[in-house]
Amino acid sequence: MVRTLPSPLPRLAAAAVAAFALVVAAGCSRPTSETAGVSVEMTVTPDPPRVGMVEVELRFADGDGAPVEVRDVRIEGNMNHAGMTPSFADAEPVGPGHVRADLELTMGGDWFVLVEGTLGDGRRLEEKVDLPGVRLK
Amino acid sequence: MTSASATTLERDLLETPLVGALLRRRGWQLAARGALLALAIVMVLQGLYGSQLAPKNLSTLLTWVHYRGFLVLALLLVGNVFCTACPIVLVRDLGRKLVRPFLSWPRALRSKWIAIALFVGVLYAYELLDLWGDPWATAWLVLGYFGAALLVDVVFRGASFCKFLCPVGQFNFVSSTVSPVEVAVKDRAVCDSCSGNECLRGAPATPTTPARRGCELGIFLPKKVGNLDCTFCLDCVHACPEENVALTTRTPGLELADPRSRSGVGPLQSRTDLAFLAAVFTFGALLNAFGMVSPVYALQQSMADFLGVRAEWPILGILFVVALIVEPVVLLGLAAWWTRRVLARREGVLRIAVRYAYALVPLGFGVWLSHYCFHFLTGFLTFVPVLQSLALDVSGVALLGTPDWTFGGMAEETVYPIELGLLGLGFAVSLAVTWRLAAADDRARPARPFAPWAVLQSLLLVAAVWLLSQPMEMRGTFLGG
Repeated sequence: MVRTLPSPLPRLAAAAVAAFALVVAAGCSRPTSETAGVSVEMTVTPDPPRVGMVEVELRFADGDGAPVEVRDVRIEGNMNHAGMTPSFADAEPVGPGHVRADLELTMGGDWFVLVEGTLGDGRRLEEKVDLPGVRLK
Repeated sequence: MTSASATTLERDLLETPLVGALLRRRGWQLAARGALLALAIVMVLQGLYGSQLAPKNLSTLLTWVHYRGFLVLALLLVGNVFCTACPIVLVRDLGRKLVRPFLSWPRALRSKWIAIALFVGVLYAYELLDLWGDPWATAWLVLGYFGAALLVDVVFRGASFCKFLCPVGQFNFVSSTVSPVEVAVKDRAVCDSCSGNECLRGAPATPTTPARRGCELGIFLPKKVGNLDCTFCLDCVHACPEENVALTTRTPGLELADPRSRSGVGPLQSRTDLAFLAAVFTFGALLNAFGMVSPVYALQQSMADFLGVRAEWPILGILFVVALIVEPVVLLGLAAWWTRRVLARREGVLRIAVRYAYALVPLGFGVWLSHYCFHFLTGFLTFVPVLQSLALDVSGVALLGTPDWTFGGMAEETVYPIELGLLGLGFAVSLAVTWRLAAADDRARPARPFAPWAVLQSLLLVAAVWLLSQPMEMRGTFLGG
């Protein structure tokens, strides 16, 4: 009598599902991003922001509120909705822990600004600052 | 009432050299579903663990920009091919190897009412939870969808989830009535001499051929009319021993005026649930587009101030009830009442409304098409830097190049005329379908029953053009939230 081996497919499928379930279960809580311990305060002119070119001022401070120097600051304006092309600008220093940039907001709605730069000790600074409610002209 | 034949065999795509040869082969669906399943897994994993910035995550980007764009364009140019390649079917088939379904879908639930509620529920959740901007929630939505389908289909036989529950499936079924391709029999006489009915029942394995699956949605090919409830799986093509099933081109939208009873569906004019689905599909398109323009915020704010509430859900709930229940019932009711007057019949208003509601579908599809094409065409290339970034994150090497976030798509000014053209196309087909229905109702003076529905469709067209002409405002700012 010829014995046929049982198909390994159900077991493989069950193992794959179990492995995927474990990976997914680990993602039950939302991922959080680490900060460099530097607060970023953003002001946008005009306020409230409008579609078009706006002036963005950023102030960096440590836990005590003292200004923190950040070099090579680059900002990226992006929208909450996927599929939009972001705007970029290099910021120029204005004073201690204080930079400014001109950024183009191309559409009304909710934006966020990604701030990237280099701290004095060489660490990278990456912060997201919300810019909600950009209005049309 | 005259019989309007929608299924006129014009050109069998299965006979074309390359595409036809591919489609006739068994296994290509498996490959397509496997590819989309792999993509879904990547999207879910990045949604759960990747950047939570929506524009930089495949979960949100592919789900809300590219998938929806490809979906409507495929429906416009070919047919319901996304149901064909649905990766959920692959997962379901694997699940059924472990647990065999043991129940039939309850007879009392064999309608579209639950699916309509789920379709509205998805639209509501999309607005309430800001899903377009939340990769983590989008990933869980995808997982939940897979889980629900698997759970239903390991319990209930056939394609119960697809036919009676799946909100995306209903969207595809309704949209595919205006698609240019349809699965149909080649020669009815061949079916008349068939005793096996393999297209419906399938066929067991033989020493030379594997088992073939029949239509899981209960459509018997010789009595199939149009695309409703057809997932384009082509199981019937592979099951038919006479090779008597074609993938034929046809006149889009014509089936909406076809009064014949259709297998698995029945006559359209007797299906109140399907007519309501058609209305929700059309008015939902306008509501979904309305959520993208700035006047919606003023309206929501006024409603919130008037009612003295700060929570979003009741305001959205009121908007949904008004837009998807009150508006369609009032407008279709008025048009049907007017039609009854000009026809001078004793026929009920509901019956007339049901018959003509299907004529709204092409216009509704035009609105969905315009809206989704806006996102798709203006953001088509935005997946490039996201893929580059993903490759860099996973491998630590810029395998696909350094992420270039300047990739975008077509300019809005260029897309706008395309949107208007697609909308106009939908409007024209709606009018043509309405005229056909009107001619069946009053052969001598079809303009009389045509007029009420033409007025209604014109009003909806004006609303849609107004919406498209509004500057887009990517939302999430409701009540400052």
